[in-house]
Amino acid sequence: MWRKLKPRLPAIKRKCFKAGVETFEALSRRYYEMDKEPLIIKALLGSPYLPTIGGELHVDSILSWAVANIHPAEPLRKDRSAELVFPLPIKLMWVSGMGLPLWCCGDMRPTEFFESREYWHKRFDVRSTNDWGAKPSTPTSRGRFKEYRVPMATRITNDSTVAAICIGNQAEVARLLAIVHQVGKKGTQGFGAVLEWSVEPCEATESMIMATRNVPLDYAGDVEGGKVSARAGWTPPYWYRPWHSKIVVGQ
Amino acid sequence: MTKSNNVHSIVLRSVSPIAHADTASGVNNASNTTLFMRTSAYVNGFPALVPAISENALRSVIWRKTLADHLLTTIGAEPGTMRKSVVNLLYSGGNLAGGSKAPGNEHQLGRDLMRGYPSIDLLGGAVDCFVLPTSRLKFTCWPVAREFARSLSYVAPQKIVDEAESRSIFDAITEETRTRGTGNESDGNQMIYSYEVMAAGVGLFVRVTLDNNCCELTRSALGFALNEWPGYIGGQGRQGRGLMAVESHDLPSGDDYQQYIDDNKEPLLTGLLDGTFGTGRELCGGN
Repeated sequence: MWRKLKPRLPAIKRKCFKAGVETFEALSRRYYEMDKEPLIIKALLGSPYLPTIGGELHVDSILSWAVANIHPAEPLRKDRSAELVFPLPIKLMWVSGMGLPLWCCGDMRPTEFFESREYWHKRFDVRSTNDWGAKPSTPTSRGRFKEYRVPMATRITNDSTVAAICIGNQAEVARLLAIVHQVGKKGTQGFGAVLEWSVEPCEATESMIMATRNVPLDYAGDVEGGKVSARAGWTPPYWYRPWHSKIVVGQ
Repeated sequence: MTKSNNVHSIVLRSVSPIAHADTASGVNNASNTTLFMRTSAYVNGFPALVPAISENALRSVIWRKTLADHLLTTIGAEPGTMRKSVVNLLYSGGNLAGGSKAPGNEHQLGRDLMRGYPSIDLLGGAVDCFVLPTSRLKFTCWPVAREFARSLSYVAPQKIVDEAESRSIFDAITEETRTRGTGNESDGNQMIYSYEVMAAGVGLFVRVTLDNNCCELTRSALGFALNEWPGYIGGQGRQGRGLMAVESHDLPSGDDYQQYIDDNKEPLLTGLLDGTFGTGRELCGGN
């Protein structure tokens, strides 16, 4: 099944290719053939986190980011398209007609959480503009340089932990997660700091896992229960609208 | 947690009280005491708003402003010559222009820009028509206090954890009242205002992380900024508030970054003046 992903796999940087670095095709095959088992992934957080609009933290997105950072990928494919798919050491459940993967990993959720609100401010540095700018007068209450105050719905968890279940290769998942120091949005502002990862075997089944993530309607015949929702993301990058489709959300 | 060359730490110590106004609680008005900045945390099993330092503010004063000031003065920029959008990118991270449309080669342009200007590579931002690749710098700052001791136990040395367990951050919060008089020459009203401060002597532990693909020059810019930073955070700096001492850090040396700027003054200045940032395409237009 991994071969269906080939058209969307990134190229590796030329100098890395010459140096004999593994291509993404080879990496994809290696990951596909790895031994996999049910795992529970836990992240211990040291600051509030900002989830996606639906409230989840997507494990396949986090792992894709890690693969892209560890493996020397070109940002574009040979045809200059940026619509990339990264192979993961996670069980590949299905590949859509567009060549998009459905990975067997649930979303990260807390057992109990409290939702709070914090703000970030976008300021225009008037002093510096007066010093260096050719035309210092700048309205900051309207227009392009308007200052704004953005509310953010942050979450803190009672045990500082978010967890997900998946079927994957324990050692490789742990290796990839070791370079992830932040989850969720606004990591540049200190949110979602990960203090520690743990990846341990567990008793989860495929149906349990698929019930904790977005699943495309085209595949949903294999998932019991759930309800059909509006178009949404189901594969990384979840924010990329051209890849959205009708989904089934878990029970 | 595993220590890698992408993870660094800084220990700051307040030399004078820190004034850092709150935005989370929303109870400020003209007659209330301005609260100290808060963040959400579980304390003794209950969610609470706990005094803390905003990383967004810290990021601006330690890295963004320090690196922008140094860049412009070192390359010989004349005051009053820069485009507003260029100054805005350097000091505030930039804004997209109204009705802008990203070019087809935005990834290439973004990469070229960030290779030329390591400070922008470190911090990210936006030019007129597209948002640059994300910032390589991510960091979290914890006050050394009991409310954050559990988090600190995973990332900080034992002596910092011991110090954290010895006191609550609420014990370090006090109030200052200032009076702005009009003097004897006129009948104007006095303006009295109060704000919370965090006491001098409080430690801040900052864990800094960079991504794997961060180049050496950008790493060097990270360390360079800390050495150049004037040392103030928060507000009321004109009255001596918020002066910090760098107690320890393990950031990379800033020598390579300084050398790069010294060796490339002319192209760096040209790229800022014409808004191309050396990419061959005008990315920040207007005046």
